[in-house]
Amino acid sequence: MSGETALALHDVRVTRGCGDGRLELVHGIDLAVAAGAVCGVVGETGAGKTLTMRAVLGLLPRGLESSGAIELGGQRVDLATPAIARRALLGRELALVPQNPAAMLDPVVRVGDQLVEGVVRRRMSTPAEARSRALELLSQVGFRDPERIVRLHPHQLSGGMSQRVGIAMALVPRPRVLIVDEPTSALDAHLRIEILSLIRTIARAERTAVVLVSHDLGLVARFCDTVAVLYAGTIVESGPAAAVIERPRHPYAVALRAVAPRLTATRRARLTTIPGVPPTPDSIGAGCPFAPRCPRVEPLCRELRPALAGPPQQPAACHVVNRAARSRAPRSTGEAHAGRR
Amino acid sequence: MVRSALARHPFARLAFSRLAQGVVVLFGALLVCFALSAATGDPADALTVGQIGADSAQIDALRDHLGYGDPFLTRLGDFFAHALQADFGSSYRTGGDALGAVLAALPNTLLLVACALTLAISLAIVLALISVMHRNRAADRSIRGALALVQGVPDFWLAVMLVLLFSVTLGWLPAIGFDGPRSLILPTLALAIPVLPTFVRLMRGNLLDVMKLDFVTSVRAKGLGERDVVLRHAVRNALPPLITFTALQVGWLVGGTIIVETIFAWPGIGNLAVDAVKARDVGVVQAVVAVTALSYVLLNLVADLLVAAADPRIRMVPA
Amino acid sequence: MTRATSALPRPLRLPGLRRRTLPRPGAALWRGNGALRWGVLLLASLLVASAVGMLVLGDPNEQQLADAFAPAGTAGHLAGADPLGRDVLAWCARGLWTSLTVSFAVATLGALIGTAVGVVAGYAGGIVDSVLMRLVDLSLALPPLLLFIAASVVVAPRPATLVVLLTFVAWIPYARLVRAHVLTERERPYIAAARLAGTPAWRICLRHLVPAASTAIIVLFTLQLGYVLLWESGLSFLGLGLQPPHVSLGYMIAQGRDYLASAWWITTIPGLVIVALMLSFNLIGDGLRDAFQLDVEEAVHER
Repeated sequence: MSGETALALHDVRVTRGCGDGRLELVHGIDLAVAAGAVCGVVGETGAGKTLTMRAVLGLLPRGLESSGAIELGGQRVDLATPAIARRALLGRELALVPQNPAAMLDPVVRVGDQLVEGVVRRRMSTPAEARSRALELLSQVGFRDPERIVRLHPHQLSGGMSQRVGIAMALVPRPRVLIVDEPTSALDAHLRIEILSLIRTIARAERTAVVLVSHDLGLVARFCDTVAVLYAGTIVESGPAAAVIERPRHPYAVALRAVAPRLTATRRARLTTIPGVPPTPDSIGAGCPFAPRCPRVEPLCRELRPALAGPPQQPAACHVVNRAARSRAPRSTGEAHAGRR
Repeated sequence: MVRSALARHPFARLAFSRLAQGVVVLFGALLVCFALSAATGDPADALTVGQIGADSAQIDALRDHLGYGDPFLTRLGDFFAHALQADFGSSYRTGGDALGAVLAALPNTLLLVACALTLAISLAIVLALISVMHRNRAADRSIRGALALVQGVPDFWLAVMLVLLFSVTLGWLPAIGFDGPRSLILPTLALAIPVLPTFVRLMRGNLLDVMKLDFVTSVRAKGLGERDVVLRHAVRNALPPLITFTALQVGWLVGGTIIVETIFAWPGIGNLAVDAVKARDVGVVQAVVAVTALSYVLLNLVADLLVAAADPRIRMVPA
Repeated sequence: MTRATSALPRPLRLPGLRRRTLPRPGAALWRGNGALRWGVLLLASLLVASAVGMLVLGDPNEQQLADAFAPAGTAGHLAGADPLGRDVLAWCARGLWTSLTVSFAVATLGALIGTAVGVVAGYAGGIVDSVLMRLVDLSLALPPLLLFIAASVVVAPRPATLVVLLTFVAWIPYARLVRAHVLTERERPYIAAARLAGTPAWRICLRHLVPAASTAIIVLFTLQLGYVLLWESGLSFLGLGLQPPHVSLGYMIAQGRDYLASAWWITTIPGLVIVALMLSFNLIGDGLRDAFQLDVEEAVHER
C-alpha cells in the first residue's frame, strides 16, 4: 500500500435552496484515499454519504449545489463550477458503481452495448478495443462465459450478476478512483462477501482507489483499509478501519459499536439502541449535531461545533473526547506509535 | 404439440392470444351490426317511397324478399352465416356487393390514416424531445401553450378553417377529392393536428418519467451528456406506451376520418358510411362497422408486436 | 374470516377508521390554481353571455330572408346572418345553451351509470366484470362517431334521444376508471375492517369505494364534457344530429361550408364559440387534475 493519495476531498459542502437562504446538507467533508486502498464511508441513511459522493461526481439533483474542491491525480477541481464543465473527469478518472443493481442498467439495451458505450461514445477507444476490454473485465469480475453475458438483456441477469456487470462497467475506462455506493444492500448475505472481496482485489490489482459507501459496519470493518464515519452531514471520526471500529473514540461511533447485535449475547439481553433520531438538516443548531443524543454531552457541545481533531491517525469531532486525549497526550502518542503497523 | 411450439416462439404466443381476444371483439361488432339492421326497421318503405302507386302488397313482397319477415333468431343466424362468409348483402343504392364497395374505399382511408399517424407521431416525438431538453424554458412553454389551445379546437371546424385558409384564401391546396398527392396534405393535417396534443403530452410524460429512473444515473456516470441520455436511452424506453396508446387511438382516428372525409370529399369508408346512412343502405353500414372492427384488431396486433420488438422484457412474458 | 353478523347486531361504527378520501373543497383548491380560475371564469362568462343573448336576441330560428348573408357587423345582425336569414349571434347564444345542456346531461348520466357498473364489476368481479371488460374492448374497437352515425338511422334527432345515444358510449370510460380504482382500494385494510365489522357490501361501495374514486371521476367528467360536445356538434355538422328547430352550433357551421369565401362568419363564429367552451372545459380539467394530482387519461387508456 503506497501512501500516494489518489483522491482528496477538501471542505466539500452541499447546499439546498430553502426559503430565502440556503440550507447546508453536508458540512465540510475532508477525506483522503490512497491509490489501491479501500476507504469506507459509513453512516445511517440520510447521513449524507450519497450526497457527498454525488457532489464529487457532479451528479447532484437539480436544486442542490456543491462547494469545496477535490484533488484527483494531482489536479484540483473546484466543485462550485457547473457540473457540465467537470464532466471530462466522470467516466474517465472517476467512476461510479451506483446503488441497486437491478435498476442501474437500461432495460432495452444489451449488456455488452452498455459496457462499451461510455468509452466508445467519448472516443476513448475503438469499438474493438472496448469490446475486448469489456470481455476481459467480465471474466475478471467472475463471469465464466463473458461472450454469453454481453448478448443478454439486463432483466435476464440475477441481482449478483447485475452488480458484477455494474462493477465491470465502471472499470472499463480504467478509472483512478472508483466510488461504490451501497454495493450490497440489495444482495443476499453470501453474495455480499464475494462482491466486496472482488472489489478489494480489483483495488489492489489495478491500484484503483475505492470509496465504499455503506451503512453496514461489519462489512466495512472487514474490507476497508480506512473508514470515515458520517453523522448528519459531518465526519465525526476517521482513521484506519480496525482502529475506528474496534476502538472508536467519538461517542456516536462508540454507540454504533454497542448497538451491533452479537451472536453471543444472552437470550434475554435487550437490543441496545441509540435514543432519539438523527437531526434533519434544518434543525441542526450551532453545536455538535450529535449533542441531543450524546451520553457524554456538555454545555460546550451545544454551542460550538467540534472540528476533527485529536491524534492525526484517528481524528474525531468531539470536544469531550479530544480534551481527554490532549490531557493524556504524551502517553497516547506513544501508544499510537506502538500500535501503528 | 402446438403448445410446445408456441412456447418456443414468444412472438407467436403473443400474436395468438391477441387474435383470440380480437375474435371476441369481432363477434361483438357483428352483433352490433345485426342490432343496427334489426333496429332500423326495413328499408322497404324508404326504397319504395319514390315509386308512385306502390301498394302495400308490393311493399310486403319486397319486405319478404329482403328477409325482414322472418323470425328474429333465424335472421340472427342468417346474418352471422353470411357475415362469416364475408357477405353483407348488396348495396341498395348501387346494387353491387356491400362488402366490395367498402373494401374498394378502404385503401383510401388507410392511406389517410397512415399519413396522419406518421405525421402525428414524428411531430409528437420531436416536440416532446424539444420540450424535455429545454424543460421550463421558452421553447417548452410555447409548445405547451400552443398545444393547449389546439386541444380546444373541434376537428371538423379545424378542417373547415384549413380549407378556408389554404384553399379559399391562399389557393395553394385543393379542397376536395383525391387528385394526386397534393390533395392528401390538407386532410392529413386536419386529422393529425387534433391528436397531437395528447400524443405530445404522453410522450413528454413518458420521457420525464424515464429520466427519473435509476439507470439514467449510470449513463451519466459514464460521462455521457444530456443528449446521449435522452436520444440513446430515454426515447427507446419511452416509446412503447406511445405505440400502445396509438393503437388505442386508431378507433378514434377512424371516427375522425368520417368527418374529415366528408369535408374533403375523400373517397374513403367514412364518406361511404355517411352516404349509406343517409340512404339507409344498411348492408354497407354493417360492412363498414365490421371492417373497422377487423382493422382495429389487426392494428392492435401489429402495435403489440412492435412494442414487443422495442422492449425485450415483454417478449419473455406471456400476454 | 367470517363476518360475525350474528354476534354484532348492527355494523360497528368505529370512529377514525374511515378514510378521508374527498379533498377539502373550497379555498385550498382555488387559491394558486390559475387554470381552474380562468376556466371557471370563462365558463361563467359564456353562460351569462348565452343567457343574455337568449333573452335579448329573439328566436334564432326566425328566418328573415331579406337579410340572408348579411355580413357580420350589420345592424341587427352583429355576427351576420346565414343563408336563410337567421341571426348567427342568436343562434350561437341558444346553441351554446343546447350544447352545454347535452354535454352535462350525457357526462352526468354516464358518470352515474359508469360508476355503478364499475363499482360492481370491481368489487364483485365475476360475470359483470368479464362482460364489462368485453364491452370496453368493443367500445375501443368501434369509434363512437361511427356508432352514432350508424345509430342515427334509427334515432330521431331530438336532444333527449341524442342524450340517450351518447350516454350509451359515454359511461364506459367511467366504468373502466372506477373499476381500476376499486380493484386497488378493495385490498386495503380499512375495507377488510369494514367487512369484518359486518358492513353490508352496498354500504362499503357507497361510503368507501366511490369516494375513493371520486377525484378521478370528477376529472374524467371534465374530459367527457369536451368529448361529448365534439360528438354532438360533429353529428349535427354531418346532418345527423340536431336539426332545426333544435339549435346546434354544429349545424350552423355546416351551413356556412359552401360559402366560405363569401360569408366566412357563418362557419367561423359558431366554431369560435365551441373553441371557447372547449377551452373552459380543458382549463377546468387541467386545474382539477393539478389540484388532485392525477392523470386520468393514463388510467383510462391503460389496458
